[in-house]
Amino acid sequence: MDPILGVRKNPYQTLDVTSDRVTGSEKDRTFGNFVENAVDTVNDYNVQADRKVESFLEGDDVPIHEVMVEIGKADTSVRLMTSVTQKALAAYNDIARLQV
Amino acid sequence: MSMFTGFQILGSGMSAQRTRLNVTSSNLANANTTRTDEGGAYRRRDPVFKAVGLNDVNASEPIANAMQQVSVTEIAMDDSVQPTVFDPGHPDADANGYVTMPNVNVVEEMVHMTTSARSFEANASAFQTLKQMMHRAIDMGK
Repeated sequence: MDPILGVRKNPYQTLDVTSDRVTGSEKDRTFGNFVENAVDTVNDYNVQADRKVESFLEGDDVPIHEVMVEIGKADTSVRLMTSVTQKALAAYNDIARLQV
Repeated sequence: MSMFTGFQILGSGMSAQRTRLNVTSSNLANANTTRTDEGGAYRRRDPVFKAVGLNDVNASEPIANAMQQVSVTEIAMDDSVQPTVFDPGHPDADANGYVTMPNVNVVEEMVHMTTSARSFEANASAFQTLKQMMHRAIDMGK
């Protein structure tokens, strides 16, 4: 399956589990960055949809189905992002609750 | 192939059918037009569709060029014979009293109108299904 735009296949892919040292570029691949990237991409889709809706309402020559296509893209990407972050947060909470 | 390849293809399909219906409206509106800028009676227009690659650099080989969206390359003129009608009182009648009429068959245009509407609906349904599929996949995480 091809990668979803803006979301890396596996943000932890380059972490070498056999080495205990984490180099600079790997340090950047944190969960925070990953979420930030995802939010940026989702935001791009939303801005695009907003622009289409605006130009449609302003009476520009924008077919209504194109507006709906952009809204569909934005809707789907928001759903995907919230679903992924909810899942990731749930995993984090599970680990945080671990009794040591 | 990105997440929204299908959306893009179906969007192009809907655009093409919309153009087709617009051309049909032009033909219907001018079914009795005897004067045009280029002279003579109105000629029937026909949209020509072309399959266009997605130019997707991310796609891997077996599917890279397999999926194509549609675009309207030209609006062709129908060069079939324009019928003549005997109407000596008409201002555009020739010396023998015959008027050249547009080569538009209203019944045929109605058929084109219905097929473009159905084709648009098919694209819209596929769009809906694709969206539901993706939402269903996302719900798997819940």
